[in-house]
Amino acid sequence: MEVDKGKGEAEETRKVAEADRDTVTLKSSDGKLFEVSKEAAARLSTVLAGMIAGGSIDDNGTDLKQIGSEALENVVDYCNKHANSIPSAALISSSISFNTAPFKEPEEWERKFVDRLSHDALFDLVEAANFLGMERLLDVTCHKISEMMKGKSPDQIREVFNIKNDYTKEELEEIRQELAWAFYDD
Amino acid sequence: MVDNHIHDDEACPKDEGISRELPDLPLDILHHIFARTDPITVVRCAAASKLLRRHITNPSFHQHLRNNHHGEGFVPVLLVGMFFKESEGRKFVPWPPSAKLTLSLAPPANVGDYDNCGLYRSKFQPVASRAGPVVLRRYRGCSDRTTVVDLCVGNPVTGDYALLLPPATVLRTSYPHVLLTGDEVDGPSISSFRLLDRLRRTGPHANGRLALLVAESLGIAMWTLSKDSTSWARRLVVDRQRILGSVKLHCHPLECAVIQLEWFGQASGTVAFQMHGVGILLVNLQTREIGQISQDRRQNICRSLCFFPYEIDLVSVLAAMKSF
Repeated sequence: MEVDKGKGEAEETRKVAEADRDTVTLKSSDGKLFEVSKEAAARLSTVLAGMIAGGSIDDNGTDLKQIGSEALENVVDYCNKHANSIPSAALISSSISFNTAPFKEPEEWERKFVDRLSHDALFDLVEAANFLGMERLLDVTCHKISEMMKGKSPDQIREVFNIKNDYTKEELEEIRQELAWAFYDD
Repeated sequence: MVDNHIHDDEACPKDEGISRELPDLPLDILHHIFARTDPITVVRCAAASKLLRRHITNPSFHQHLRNNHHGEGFVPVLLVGMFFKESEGRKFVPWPPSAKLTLSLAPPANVGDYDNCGLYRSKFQPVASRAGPVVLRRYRGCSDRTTVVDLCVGNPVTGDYALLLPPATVLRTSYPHVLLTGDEVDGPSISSFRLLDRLRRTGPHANGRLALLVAESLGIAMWTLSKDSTSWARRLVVDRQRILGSVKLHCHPLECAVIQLEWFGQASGTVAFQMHGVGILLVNLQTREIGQISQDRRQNICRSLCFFPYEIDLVSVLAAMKSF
């Protein structure tokens, strides 16, 4: 039996070594490499969890062609920060017995995490979170965008989403009259 | 699918020199974002572009909202104001005060102090509300010199009201009214409701479990029934010190002790209570934010004070919006 080992065993050893690695390497659309904790990636992203379970993680960098390096850096940063904040998160959820909101409120560090992002980086991160199936990050980023819109006029909302006004003057007037209570300060 | 995205090629051509490519957010993400914001902002988003309006008036978004609003959690922004009993009818006070929301509180065809036969009728006044609809009541003189009560139920945001015809017209007026609405409300019309003529106080539901709010000397506590319905667990929702630290006091803090609970808004998770020496306060169970309503000179708890919340039914408002 000793003699029969050889190549097969070496292959096995390499596989075990790969499986033992506690990080995965992700490659952005512009070719930059990022390392992220395998445990956090699998826990926070349904897509990465599927890739890890299915063995389609590339040791030299798993291609994520839809995500730019800035957004991917933020994703990885979020995963690492999340991994470090587990104890406090567990503590908080056990102390609030009726935290049954449709959306769980972002934690302090999550707020800070999205607050420092530029407008463009935030929207890129929403798309990346959506692509990677990161429900919690999607929640936190959507929360931030909805906060950015609060109290804004239709003109300012157009600026946030970078969209053009396609209403005629008459149509806008009709809209304002229809629900005047929503346009009290225009 | 172009229609599923905010990025609409027709509405906003790419070659217009826009500094940044528009976010190609799928519809469910937009729904996520809209569902988190307040009613006024959602309506304003619909006024920002026709495409956003199509998304917001889309029944799938309403289902998304309904799932959130009718789920177990509270949606604080649904509380948009309060009706107060005043000497001259009832007054609607928007909340937060900056919102300046106005409501229509009479069926369109029933305005005026006299009917076609010259008989006197009072103004309609709101007497109860729940999850969007309000109950309006008025007194009306009859030709046989008796006075009857008319009730109507409707949506004060859209102004759609239905007069409850006899035998729904009740003669006894001494009971407070409680409105129970059906789970499914299709469009702007109210498809099912029950009107009770006796006040029943129910507690908020936390995690789908029965919970009771109790005013204590330390603040307001919530007692939650365990899953197997055998025991109650107590926890302080808001403590007295935090209340005193976040409101304007009308007397010495030591005198601000007695708390009287008034009502609980089940959609927004808001508790309204009076505190001696402080006035009327609101605390939201989800955000823990404390708001002070009246900053008048009233120092004592007013036992006869009559007010109730108005929680908007955003879905019915959106469903009634015109399409463009």
